[in-house]
Amino acid sequence: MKKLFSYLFILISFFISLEILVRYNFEAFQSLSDKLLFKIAMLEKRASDEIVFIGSSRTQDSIDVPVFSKQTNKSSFSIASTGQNKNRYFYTINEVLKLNFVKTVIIEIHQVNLRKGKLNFPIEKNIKESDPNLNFEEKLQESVNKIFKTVQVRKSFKPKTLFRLLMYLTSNLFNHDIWFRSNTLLQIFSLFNQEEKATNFPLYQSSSIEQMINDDYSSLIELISKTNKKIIFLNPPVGEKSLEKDCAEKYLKIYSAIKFPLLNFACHPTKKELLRDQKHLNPKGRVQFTKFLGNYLKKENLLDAL
Amino acid sequence: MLFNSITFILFHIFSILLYWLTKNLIIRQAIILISSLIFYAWHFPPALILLLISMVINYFLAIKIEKYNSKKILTLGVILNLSNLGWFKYSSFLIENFNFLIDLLSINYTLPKPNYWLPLGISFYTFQVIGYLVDVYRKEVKAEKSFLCFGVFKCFYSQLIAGPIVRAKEFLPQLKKVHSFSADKFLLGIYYVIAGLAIKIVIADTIAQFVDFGFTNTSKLNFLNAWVTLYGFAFQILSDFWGYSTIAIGLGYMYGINLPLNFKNPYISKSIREFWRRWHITLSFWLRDYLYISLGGNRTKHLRNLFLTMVLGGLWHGSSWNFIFWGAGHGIWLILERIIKFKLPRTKFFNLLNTIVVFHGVCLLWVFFRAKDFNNSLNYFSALLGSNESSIKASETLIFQIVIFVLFIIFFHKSLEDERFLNWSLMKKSIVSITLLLSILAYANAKLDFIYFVF
Repeated sequence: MKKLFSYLFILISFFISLEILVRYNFEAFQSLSDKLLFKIAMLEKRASDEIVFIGSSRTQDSIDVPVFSKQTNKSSFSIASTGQNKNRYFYTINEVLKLNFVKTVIIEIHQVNLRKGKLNFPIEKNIKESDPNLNFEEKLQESVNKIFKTVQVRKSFKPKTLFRLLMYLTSNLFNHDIWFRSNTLLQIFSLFNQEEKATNFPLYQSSSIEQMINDDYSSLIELISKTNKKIIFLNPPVGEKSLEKDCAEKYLKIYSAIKFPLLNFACHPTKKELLRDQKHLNPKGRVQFTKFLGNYLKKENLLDAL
Repeated sequence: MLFNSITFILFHIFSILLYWLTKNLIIRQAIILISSLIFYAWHFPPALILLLISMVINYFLAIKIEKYNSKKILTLGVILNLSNLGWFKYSSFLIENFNFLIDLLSINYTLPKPNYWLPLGISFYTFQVIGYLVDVYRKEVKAEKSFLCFGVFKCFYSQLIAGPIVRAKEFLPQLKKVHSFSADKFLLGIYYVIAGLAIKIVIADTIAQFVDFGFTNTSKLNFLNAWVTLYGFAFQILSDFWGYSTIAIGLGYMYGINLPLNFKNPYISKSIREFWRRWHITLSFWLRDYLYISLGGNRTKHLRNLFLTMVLGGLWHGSSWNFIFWGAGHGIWLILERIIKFKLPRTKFFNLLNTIVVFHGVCLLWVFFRAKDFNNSLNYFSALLGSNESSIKASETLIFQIVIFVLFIIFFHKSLEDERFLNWSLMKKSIVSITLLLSILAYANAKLDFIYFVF
């Protein structure tokens, strides 16, 4: 009986202690369990990056940050990450614009991020609001999720968290961008193949723009209008099947309101050999595109602070 | 109420507390029976009626079989149970095939397809009770006179839905004793439940996402992807079912009840015969004792009996031709092993070679088991031969999960086959348990049904 009680005591004590630890360090645990928050935390810790990329997996797979930094001679960082949605995307922009050391923000813009509808900050209330259609079991599960902070940050207990901790601690020494992409082994091999030349990626040049967009970007427009940072909108390259057919009409409102540069590469098909799939570049394409983009931004003097 | 849900954990704790608070045997049996009925009804209440009817009929049938030592009553019992199983599980399949044949003969007639629900665990509890009736007839066990006891045997919730299939002679005597609380057994039970949940949630459910994608996008799988996905399924089904059985055994321990082992590291088998002694052990032995022997066993036409047993064993898993092919494949392989007496030298190298060959043979047969139909199986075999061009990459996560599971098997499988966990130091017990619990917590975001729930 003593063995049983000792065993249960250790288990219960451990989880009570963990719950207390999580409650007092909730933000840190939350950052560890969420790729986006973790990247923002890393950016804050580095406190040295002048150029920051914000976007989805498309930007993540289109930009090789070390190559870009070398090309532009400016320290840069990518917060682009898979699994984005409007709220998270907007939250990221807001957080990055608060950082003094950041001079230029390159924001991915495409129909997913700026779909019809109002962009808002993440509304905790909405996330936590109970669905009235939940059954008893689901409600019980939801209650457990609400009560225990440990459950809310459960992803931070995955093995990769230890790795993330290491990444965070060494974020000033290395740029860890490579580890966030899928197919890590392939990414490592791609490091040995960065002698790719900058290929020309056709850029869509819009001259006449008509007022045809129904999307309400007012929150975003309001937010970036106030900033003293350089904002560049980027639509990364895609394959033929994912081309945006109405390039002239998209992004109209935001473009005409802000007049920030919009670099749209999604109106002309990218070569198949440079693509991982129809919406993402492969390592070869990434290096080529990053070099091209770096050259282009330098040539057009788009990286100079306002 | 899945084993991997909060509701079940609370339900089980409540039931266990009530059980150990009393020393009255009848009340204890009643607590298990009522808990089991609630557990079963939770999923789909009408299914409980069927279970209760089956319980009452089989209770009286066994008493009559014993009283009259009548083969006719036994036959009636077997027919009734199989009819029940057949009606709910196979009628749709039979009608589908009947309509297909009628169509081939150009007869303008179609039987309507029934739309029955499949009662949870029907295959398991049907086989378990048929085994009991046969045992009573063979006088290997006495017909149970206590309805409570029989009820618990028939529907003990820890193993009701997906086994292990228990034998009356092993299970019933345990219910007749007033066990005093064994801290060791309870401790072992907790460990088995934690380990079983970890196997299910951390391994099986994670692998499942990749395997499901692979089998529904067969045309996108190149040679490497197809093999990795197939290995993934081999480990998914093992971890899913082994996880369930381990939880079931653990829950049993918490009531002081021993349930039989269902898995003994099957993928290290050096022959297909050995595989079936390590995989779903309680079903294999059931098929041997109640089907193979009843068909004539080794006495007459043993190869035919073996083949039929495996085909029917395949069909038991599901009502589709794919399961029949899967069973037939195993049957043919077992027959070949019996006919071809050639034996390789018993060196480490040849043992390893045997294990690799058997594992890959089993994997290839899993294609029939997992594919949704025969065409899908053929497409998958074609992908395994490398006939598709690559369009998706083999997932590193899947490979990582397989490696993790293999390591888990290497280090922990023995602790889930016996009571060695009790000999570990308190420190080791706690570290292992906490690690497993944290893994469960970290990966418990998708609650997937256990694969064997549909059998």
